[in-house]
Parts: sequence; structure tokens; C-alpha cells
Amino acid sequence: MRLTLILLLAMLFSSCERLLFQDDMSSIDPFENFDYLWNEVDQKYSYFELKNINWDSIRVEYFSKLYSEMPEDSLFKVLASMLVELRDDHTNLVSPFNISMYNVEFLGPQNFNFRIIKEHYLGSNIQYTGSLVHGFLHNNNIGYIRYASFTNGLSDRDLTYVLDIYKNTNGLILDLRSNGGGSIFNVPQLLARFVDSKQLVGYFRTRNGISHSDFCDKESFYVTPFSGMRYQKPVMILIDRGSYSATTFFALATKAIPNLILVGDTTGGGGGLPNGGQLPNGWTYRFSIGQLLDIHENNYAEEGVPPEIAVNFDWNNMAVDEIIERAVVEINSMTK
Amino acid sequence: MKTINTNRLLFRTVLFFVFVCFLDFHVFPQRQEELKHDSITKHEKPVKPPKYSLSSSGFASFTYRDFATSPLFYRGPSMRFSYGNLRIDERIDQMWFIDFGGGAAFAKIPKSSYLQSYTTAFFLRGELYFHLLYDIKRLSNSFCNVKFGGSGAYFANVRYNESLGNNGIGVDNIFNLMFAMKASKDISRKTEKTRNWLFIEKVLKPKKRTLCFQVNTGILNFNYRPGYAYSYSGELNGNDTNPIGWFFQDYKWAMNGWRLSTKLNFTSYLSNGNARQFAYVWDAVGAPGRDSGFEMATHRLQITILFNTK
Repeated sequence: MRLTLILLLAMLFSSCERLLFQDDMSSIDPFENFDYLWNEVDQKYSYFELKNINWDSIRVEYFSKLYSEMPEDSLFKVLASMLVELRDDHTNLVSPFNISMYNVEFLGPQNFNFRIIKEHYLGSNIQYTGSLVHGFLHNNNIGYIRYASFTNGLSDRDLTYVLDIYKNTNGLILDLRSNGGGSIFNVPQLLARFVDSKQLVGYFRTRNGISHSDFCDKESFYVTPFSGMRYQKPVMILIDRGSYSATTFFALATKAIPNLILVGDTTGGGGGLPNGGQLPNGWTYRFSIGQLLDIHENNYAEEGVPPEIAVNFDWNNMAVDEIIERAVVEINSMTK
Repeated sequence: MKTINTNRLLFRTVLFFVFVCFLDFHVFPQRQEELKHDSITKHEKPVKPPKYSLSSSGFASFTYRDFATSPLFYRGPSMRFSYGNLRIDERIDQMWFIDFGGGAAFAKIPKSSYLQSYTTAFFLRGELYFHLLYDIKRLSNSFCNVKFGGSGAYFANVRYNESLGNNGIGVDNIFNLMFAMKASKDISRKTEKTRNWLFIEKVLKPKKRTLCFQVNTGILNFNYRPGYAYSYSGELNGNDTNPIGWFFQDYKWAMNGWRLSTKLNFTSYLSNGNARQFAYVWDAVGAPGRDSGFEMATHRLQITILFNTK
């Protein structure tokens, strides 16, 4: 009997986590999910003030579109439309049946067609090394390197191999057009090949309070030179509206490095590092929680980093890439 | 840092002592004569308690919720392995162990009438644990040995949930200094017994066995958890980034929360001095942190081999 009592006590102590935990918050109720998402964005999104967004009035507008028992796809449309008001491609709502996007690349013309480059510029000399596609241009005086996505890993071995091939050229063209970003780790890794001393290239600050203007102290963004193979001659960085997120980070950093010159169109932006989270109904989301600033603390990266040399593609001539042509002219003029 | 919620602390302490008193006056009738007989007098030469090396493995059911990233509970199975040391007799119980394990957890998502969402997290967990308990003579008697003391534990829970993007990796560091109470009951088979199961007759030889129940409750609870934004830009500095610094960038210390764990174990001693132990362990933790809370509970079935080393 006494033993049974001990066992009962043991069971009592061993099953009371429900009493200790807060209530289960899982829910498919549209109002609860709306409130959860709206509050998360309100408390952590980083660009309300820069973009002059009145989040309270947006709540009123979209809350009025909710109703009990509304189908999940209708709720998705309401929540997705609310997030599009942030004008930010780092903001997405992800459900099993759809993903919301702002599509910042449509704000500018398309400026990239890789077939033209492969067919009319690189030809049979094209080489694929890891995540880099490259070849010689202009009588082997200029090297062309295409890095399609910062999502693709960059190894030191591959970078050293590729840069060694073009070490005797007059200049390089690094093509980051339509590079939608990826891992920020790859940004300083690539930049480290083009600097010869540790360089401050920007700042980053992160939201740290419930007020829309609450940010922590800015953190310095440095690039340290790679100890091995580096390239110190002119490098033209090709960008366009499809160059987003990590590519915008890269483009902004080049503003502080004299031998790197941006050619093409303004990047798509995406200067805010996105977070990640989940709603009570299981859908996931992300939005920007920080701000990238240049070395003068200017806050324009979210709207896009402008090029030093603005050039657009001419789609009437499908044998010429005007942006590459302009970059070649620039390298030649710098080496005369 | 936030201060401890004194009311909660007081409540837990009172609850604990009520439990101990309940054991004292209701479950185990006191017999002062036996207490006197059991206690060690000044003239007796103390005998060193036997020492065991522990090796455990077990299955656990794991539940957690990290409010910084999701309001949903994640549940799943995990495997756990431990190695440690135990010194135990009727007067003292001293134990430490290192525990590690891992598993997968699935979000408890409400049923969808459209397309069902699924999200999965993977986790690794490591724990260091120590306790030192002493016999409380006023509470111990021939029926039960009660020990009381303190314990300390630190665990790190590393989580990876791809669907949470840049918030996909989180580390929960929890430190607890706890009150610990252990009640042990000797359920040894003193005489040989014969049992008949169907037509099979089996002779059960005398055997030393114990049944123990231990409660640990957190008194000082610390946690080291991600900051307000959860994700930070440490990776920007690339090859200058210290991996540890990047991992714990803007993590914040907080002294708050609670921890409650219980262990019910049955130990059967072998003739060579070693022993086997079967245990059910329940462990629950709450860490409000500075910005957003974390809750976790595990239910574990564990088998331990105790190697007598002295």
C-alpha cells in the first residue's frame, strides 16, 4: 500500500508539465493567426521608418477582411497582401500551397541573358569550376567570372584556381546579375580576394525593442584580405535589379574598395537580414530585422545599391551584352 | 537581468517541504528506536561507500517550445546516452554524469482542412549533472531511507529547424542549482521463494534490490538564450568571425525560470557487486529568458549498468 502511494506520488510529479507550461497556442483561427503575424512584424521588422509604413493603419485595413471560418487560402491571401505592403523580398509567408513574394526584380528591366554570354562571348573556352563559370574575353586580356548565386558555396581552392588563371589579365568582370543572394558568409570570402588590407566596408544594426526605431548599436563590417591568391587590378562588378540580398551586401561593400566598380542597374535591395518564424497554424514566415549601412552610415541598401556606371541591356540585339561591353571599355580605359 | 519571482520560489519551496513532511509523517511511520539504532555513533569507524561507474542508454520523448521562433510545441523521440560515477550507501549519495543524445521533433500543428503543414526540427543535447545527498536521520527509518541535498545541472540543447530560415539554429543553455530529495526503499528478496507460472516452477534466490524516487527542484535558474532579434549579422565579418562568437552573438543571460525533475528507479544488484538499474526520468524546464521564453520536458526510459569499482 505504501509502495503504491510512493508510485502514485512519482506519477503525480512526473506528469504535471501541462500545468507548468503555458497554454497550447496552436490554432487555425484566422484572427489569432493574423494577430500573431501582425505583432511579430510590428515588434521586429526593421524598415517601418525608412519606408514610411503605417503598420497600424495596415492592420485596420486587412483585419477588416477577416471572417470566422474563412478558408485557409483566403486567409493566406489576406496575410500575404499585408506583408507585400512592406515592399521587401526578404518578407515571405510560406504555406504548403503557396509562398508570398513582393518581386522587387520587376521594378527594373531585365538585364541578363546567360545564353548570349555563353554563345557570343565565352564560346568553347567556357570553364566550370565549382560554383563559378568563367572564361577569357577580349583577346584574353580580360577575365569573365559568373557567380550565379551566393547560395552556392565558394571554396578557397576554387577561388584560388580561378584567380590564378586570370592573374595576368588587365581586369576582371565579376557578373552578379540576377544573383538573388544566399549565404552572407560568401560575401566577405569573395571580397577578401580584392583587398590588400583590412577595410571597413559598412555597418549593420539590428532591431532590439518594440518601438519601430529601437536598434542596437551598429556593428562594423570589415573585410580582411585573403592570405593567398588575390586580384588587385580593376574589377567590374555587374549588377541589376535581380541582384538581391547578399549581392546587395556585396555591392554596398564595393563602394569602399577603389578597384571594384559597379556596372549595370541598381541592385534589388534586401539590406535587411531576414529572421524566420512560425504561425499558430504551422505556416512559416520571414522578414527583415536589421539594416545595412554604408561606411558613411547612409541607409539606402534596402532600396538598392546604385552602380557607378549605369548601363541597360538592349534586347533588340541578341548577340551583344551591352553591360559587358561597357565593362570592357572601362577596363581598357583604366589600363591605358 | 530579471530577478527571481520570489512568490513562485516560495511556493515551490513550501510544496517541496510539504512533500517531505508527507513522507515523514504519513507514508513512513517514525520509530525512534530504529533511528537511534541506524545512526552512526562517534566511535564507529566510517566505512567508505561503494563506488560505481555508470553507463546508461535510453529512449526519451521530447517536447519543447521556443517562443522566439514558434508558438507551437515540437515533440519527438530521442536517444540518450550517459556516463558517470556514483558513490552510494545509506548515509551519502554522490553522483555525476555526462549525458548526450539527439533526435527529431515534429511541430504539433492543428489539422488543416486544406493542405497540412509539416515542420521538423533536429536536436542534439548535452548535459552535465552532479548531486550530493546526505541521509536525513529524522526522516529515515527501517521502511525508507531519505536523503536530502543539492544538485547542479547544465544542459545545452542545439536545435536545427530548416523551415525557420535564419532562425533555424538555436542553442538553449540552461543552468540550475537545485534542491534534491531522494527516498530509497529496500525491496530485497531476503529469502528464497518459489514461483509457479503455468507449469513452470522457478526458484527465486535472495537478491538485493532497491526502489528509489528522487525529486530535484530548481532554486537558482539561469539561462543563456538568443537576444531580441534572434538572428544577427556576425557572419558578415567572414574570416574574422570567431565561430563561438558568431554562434552566441547577442545571447543574453537571465536568472529566471524553473526546473523540476523526478526519477523513479529500480536497482537490482548482482552477485559480483555490479548492478542493473531501470529508470523512468521526467524532466521539465521553463526559461522565460530576457526576451522570449523556452519550455521543455522529457520523459525517458533508461537502462543503466553500474560497475562496482571499489
